[in-house]
Amino acid sequence: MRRLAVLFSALLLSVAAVAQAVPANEAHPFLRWSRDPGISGMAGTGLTSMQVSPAFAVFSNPAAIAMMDGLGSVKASYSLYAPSFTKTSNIAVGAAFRPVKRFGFAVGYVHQLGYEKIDEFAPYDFAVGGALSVGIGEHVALGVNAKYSKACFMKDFSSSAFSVDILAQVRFWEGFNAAVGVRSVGKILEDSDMSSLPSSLAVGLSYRYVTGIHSIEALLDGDWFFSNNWGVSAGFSYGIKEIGFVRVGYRFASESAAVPSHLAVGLGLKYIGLSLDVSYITLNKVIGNTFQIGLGYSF
Amino acid sequence: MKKIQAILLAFLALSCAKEIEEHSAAGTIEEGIKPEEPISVDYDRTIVPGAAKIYFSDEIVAEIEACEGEGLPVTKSSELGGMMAELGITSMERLFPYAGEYEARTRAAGLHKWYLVTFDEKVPVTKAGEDLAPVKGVEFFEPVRKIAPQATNDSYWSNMWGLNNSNGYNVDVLPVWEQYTVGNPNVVVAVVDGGLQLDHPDLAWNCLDSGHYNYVTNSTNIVPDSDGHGTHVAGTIAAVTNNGKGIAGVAGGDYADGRRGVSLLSLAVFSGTRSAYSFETAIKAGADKGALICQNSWGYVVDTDDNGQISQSELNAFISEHNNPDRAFTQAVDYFIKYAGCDASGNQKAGSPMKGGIVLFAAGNDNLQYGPPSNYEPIVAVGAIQSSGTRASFSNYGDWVDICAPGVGIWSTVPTSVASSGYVLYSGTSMACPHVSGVAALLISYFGGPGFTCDMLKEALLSGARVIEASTGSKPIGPLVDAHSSFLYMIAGTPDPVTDYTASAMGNSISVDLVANGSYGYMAAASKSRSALESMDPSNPGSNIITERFVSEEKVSGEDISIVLRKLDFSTDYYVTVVSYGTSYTTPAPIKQVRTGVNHAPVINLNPGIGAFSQWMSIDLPVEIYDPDFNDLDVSFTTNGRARLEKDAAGVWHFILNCQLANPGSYTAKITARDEYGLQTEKSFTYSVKENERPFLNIPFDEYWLTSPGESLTLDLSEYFSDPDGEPLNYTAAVIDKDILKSRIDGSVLTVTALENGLGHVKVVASDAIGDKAVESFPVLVRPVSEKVTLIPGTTVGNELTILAALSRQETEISLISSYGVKVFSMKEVCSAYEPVTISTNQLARGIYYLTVSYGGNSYKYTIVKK
Repeated sequence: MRRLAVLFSALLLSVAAVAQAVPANEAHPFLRWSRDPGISGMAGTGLTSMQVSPAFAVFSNPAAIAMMDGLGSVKASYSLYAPSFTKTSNIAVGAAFRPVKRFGFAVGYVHQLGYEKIDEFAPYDFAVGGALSVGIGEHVALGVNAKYSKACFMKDFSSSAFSVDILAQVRFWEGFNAAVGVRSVGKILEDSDMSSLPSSLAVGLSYRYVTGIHSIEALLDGDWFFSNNWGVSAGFSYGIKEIGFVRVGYRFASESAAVPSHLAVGLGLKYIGLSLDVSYITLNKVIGNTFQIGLGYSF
Repeated sequence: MKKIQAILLAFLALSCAKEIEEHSAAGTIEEGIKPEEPISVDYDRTIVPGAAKIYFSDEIVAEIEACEGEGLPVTKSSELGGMMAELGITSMERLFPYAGEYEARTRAAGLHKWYLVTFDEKVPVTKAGEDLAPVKGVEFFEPVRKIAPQATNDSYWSNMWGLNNSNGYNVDVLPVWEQYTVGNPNVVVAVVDGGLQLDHPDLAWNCLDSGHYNYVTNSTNIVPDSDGHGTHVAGTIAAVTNNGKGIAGVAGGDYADGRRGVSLLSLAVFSGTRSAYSFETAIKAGADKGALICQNSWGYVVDTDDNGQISQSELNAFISEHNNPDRAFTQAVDYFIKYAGCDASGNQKAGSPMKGGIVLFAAGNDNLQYGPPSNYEPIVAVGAIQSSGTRASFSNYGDWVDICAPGVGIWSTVPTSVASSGYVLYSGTSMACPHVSGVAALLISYFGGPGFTCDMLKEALLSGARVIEASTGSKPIGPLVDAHSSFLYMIAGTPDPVTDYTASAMGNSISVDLVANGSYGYMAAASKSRSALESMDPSNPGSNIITERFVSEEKVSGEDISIVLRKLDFSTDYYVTVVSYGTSYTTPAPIKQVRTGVNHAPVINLNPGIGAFSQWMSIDLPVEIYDPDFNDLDVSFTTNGRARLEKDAAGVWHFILNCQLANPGSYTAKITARDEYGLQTEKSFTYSVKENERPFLNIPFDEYWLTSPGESLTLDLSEYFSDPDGEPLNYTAAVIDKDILKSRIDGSVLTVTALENGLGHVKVVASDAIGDKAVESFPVLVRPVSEKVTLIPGTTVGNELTILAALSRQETEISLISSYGVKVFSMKEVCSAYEPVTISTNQLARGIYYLTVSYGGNSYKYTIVKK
C-alpha cells in the first residue's frame, strides 16, 4: 500500500514537471467535457459523486468503478452542443462493470459531429477508451483510464492523441469522498504538432447526506492545468426518495481553461435501475444553451 | 569604344581575265546562293595572315613616336610592349605615312593613329585581336583584308556601246566632246587598282609623269596586276581619243586636235598577283597627291570557302557581322572627300579646279543586296547595266547604289603582257565605275574653278543621270550616268548677276550685303585700285584683290546674305563689287567705294544665365564674343573652378561646366579677348555651384483600393515627388508583395496591377541626377466591394493570421475562440485594412476556431482551421 502510494505520487510529479514547457493553447479539449448529463447538470463536478453512476467513468474518474454499488452500469447520452455558436452534436456511450469486489473496468466512446463544412468536408472528432479500477481495502480505490482521441478538421488533416487519467479515491467515513489524480496526460501522436493535451492535476471532494426520503450531495472539483490555467466547479444535488433529483452547479475557470466558466442545471429520474438525466448550460456566450440528455441502466 | 572585328572578311577576287563567253559565271554566282546551306565559314581564308591595323590612343601614339625618336622598335608601354612581344610583332609602321605639308590635316583627321603591324603568321589574327583588345591604348583592331579587283571574266567586245550605243543606253558623252570639253589635264583621277601600264600606247599621253606609287611593293615602280584590271579601268576613263588606236576613253582628250584628256594617277594596290596591305593608304594619298577623283573598282566578298560561289550561310554571316566598312577605310574616304584639291589649311588650292574630292566605287558583282565598302554613304556607288539597258545579272543592287553605267562587254586597254593587242573585253561593275569617273572628270574639266566644290560635282552627276528600267524595280541600281544631261544641268544653273547690294565698313572690314537671287555662290571683292577691280577675272582675281565667298547650296532666292571682307587696312578707301556664280561667273555688280574705319575693341557679352547653378546641371551657355571689325580674336579663359570656354564649329563660344564634377562653392572667372592688332577686352565674373538637395515627397500617397485582380492603378509620380534643385527625377518602383501586385514604370508614370486579393505595398524611389534618393511606399488593398474583412492567408492558417478590417481606421474588436468555447485571443484596437492586425498563431493548437471581427456596429464571423 505504501509503496503503491509512493509510486503514484512520483508519477504525478514527473508528469507535472514535463508539462511546464508546453504551449499555452491545448488540443483535444473535448477530452475534458462531461458526457454524463447527471454530472453536466452540476457543472462537471463528477469526480466523487455517489449519486451518479460511473458508467462514463472512462471520461471521468475510473477509481469510482471499484467503489460502485451493484455489478454494473451502462449509459448513453446525446448533447446539442453550443447551438447558438457551432450547432454540433455529441453522442456518447459508456459502461462500467464491477464483476468482483474491489475490481472493475469500463469502456466508453464519444463522437462529435455537425460542424459547418470546410472545403466540402464536415469536421468531426471522437474518443474511445477503457478503464481499470482496483480497490485497496475498504476505503481506497485506484483507477486508470486510457483513451485514443482524434479530431478531423479537413480532408487529410487531423490530430490524434493518446492520453491517460490516473486517479485515486478515498472514502473517509460515511458520506465523505475525496479523489486526486492527473487527467488527460498523454501525447499528440503527430510529430509535427507541438501543442499539448489539456492535462491537469485534479482534486475532488464531496459529501452526501441522506435523511428519510431526502438526500443532498455537495461537490467541489478543482483542476490545475499544466498550461497554467485553472478551473473550479461547485455542484449541488437534491434528491427525493432517490427517484427524483434536481441539480445545479457553477464552474469558474481561467479564460483559456479547457472548459470555460458557466452555470449548469439538471434534473434526474431513477427507478428500478433505470435513469434519465437532463442538463442545461447557461451564462456563457459560446457554450450557452448546451443541452444534454442521457439514459442509463444500473444493475 | 573598342571594336575588335574578329570575324574576318575578304574581298571578292573575281578575276577579270576571262572572256565574255564565260560571263555566264555571273549567273553561276546567282545560282550559287543556296538558302540554308550548312557550311563551315572560314574567315581566316579571306584575310592576310600575320598582319593587322591598330588604332592607338593619343598616349600610346605619343609613346610610339617618342620611341621612334629614340630608335626603339615599338613602345615603352609595358603592357602593350609585352603583348606585342608575345605575338611576335615583326614590324609596326604608320598606315598613313608622314604626309609632309599635309601632315597637320592628316593628324587632324586622326589618321596618324593607325598603325600597320605584322606579326608571326602562326598567331591567328583572331587571337591577336582578342589579346590586344583589353590592352590599354588599343582603341580599334582591324584585320588586313585580302582584296581583289571587282570584275567578272567575260568575252570580247564588238563595239564600244558604253559610249555610243545606238539604242541610247550609253553615257551620252559625244555631245559633250563636241560642245564642251574632252577633258583637262588639270583634273587628276587616282586609279586605286592594279598598277597601270603607264607606257601603254593608248594611255601614256594622259598619264602623269610622276606621283604614281605601288602600295604592294612600297615603291614608285608601277607593275600592272596580272589581269591588267587597273589598266582596263584607266582606259575607260582616259584612253587617248581620236589617235587612230584602240579605244576612246570618256575623258581622254582629242589627240588629233592636240587636246589632252584628264590625268591618270596610278595608285597600285594590286601588282602582279599580289595585293597591298594598305588600300586605305592609297585612297588618302590620292588627296595629298592632287587627285580630285578616286576611282575604285574593288570590294569586299563573302566567298569565305573560296569555292567561287556564295552560299546563303556565307551571306548571312557577312551581313550580320560586317555590313559596314572598316573604320580606317571610312576615315580615309572622309579625308579624300574633305581635303582633295585643298591646301594644307583646308582651302581650295590655287589652280585646283575643285575643292574636295569624289570617291567612286564599283557596287560589286555578287548579285546581292549588300555593298560594303561601296555602300558607305559618302561614296558614289556604281552598278552595271548591259547594252539592253537592264541590270547586269551580276550587279549588286539596292537603294544604296547611287548610279549605274555600262558594265557588260566593255573593251578597254590592258597591258600587252595580258593581251598582245593591248585591248580586251571585260564585264563587271569594275567596268561601269570608270565610266562614271570619266564623266565626273569631264564635268570638273569644264566647270571646275575657284568655288567649284565636290558637292556641286556630285549633284550634277546624280541629277543629270537618267532613270531607266534598271533604276527601279526590286533590284534597283540607280539612274544611268549621262554626261550630256549633267552638263545641261550645270549650264541651266548659271545664275543672274547681282545688281543691287550695300557695302559698309566696320573697322578694317567691309560688309557686303545683298539679297540672294538663287545663285549657287557669291563672291565679294575689294581692292584699293578701281581699275584692278574693273578688269577682274572672277575665276582668277589676282593678288591685289581681296575676295570672300558665300556658297548657298540650296540656291534659295530672297535670303539675306552678308559677306565680310576682312583684314583690310584701317582708314583706307576701298572699291568693292560682288559677283554671283554657279557653273560660271556672272557680270560683276557696279563698283562702290567704301572707307574703312579705326579699330574697335572686341566685345564680350556674358550670357545672363551664368550665375548660380545646381550641382546636377550640365551647363552649356553661349557667350557672345566677337570683334566688331570681324578680325580674328585670341580668346583666353581663366577660372579657379572647373568651367571652361569652348568654341563650336559655328564659331560660337560656350561657357561649359559640368557641375557634377565641381565642388559646391563660388568661383571667379575671366574672359580675355584680344584682336590681332592687340586691342583687348576683359570680362570678369563669378559663378557658383550649389550643393545638391535631396528630392522629397511633396504630396503624400493615399491608401489605394483595387476591387478585383486585373484592375490597375496609374500614378504620375512627378506629381508626388519634388526636387528642391528642380532637376529631373528618375523613378523606380518595386512591389514588396509580389503575389498581390505587380508594377510597371514608364518614365514617371507608375502602373500598379492587382494580381490577387490582399494588401500589397509598393516601394517607390525617386532619384536625382546626383544619385540622392527619396524612398516612399504606399499600400494597395485588393478586395472586392462585397468583402468586409480579408483574412490572410485565408481561413486555413499556419503560424500567422493577418486581418484586414474596415477601409477606414476605426475601433475594431477581434476575438478568436476554439470550437469548445475556449477564448484564445481577443483585442480591441483602432485599425483598418491598411493597418492590419496580425495574430501569431504559432502557439495555437491544431483545430477549428471561430474568429469574430466587429467594427462599425457589425460583426463578421469566420471559421478557421489552424493547421
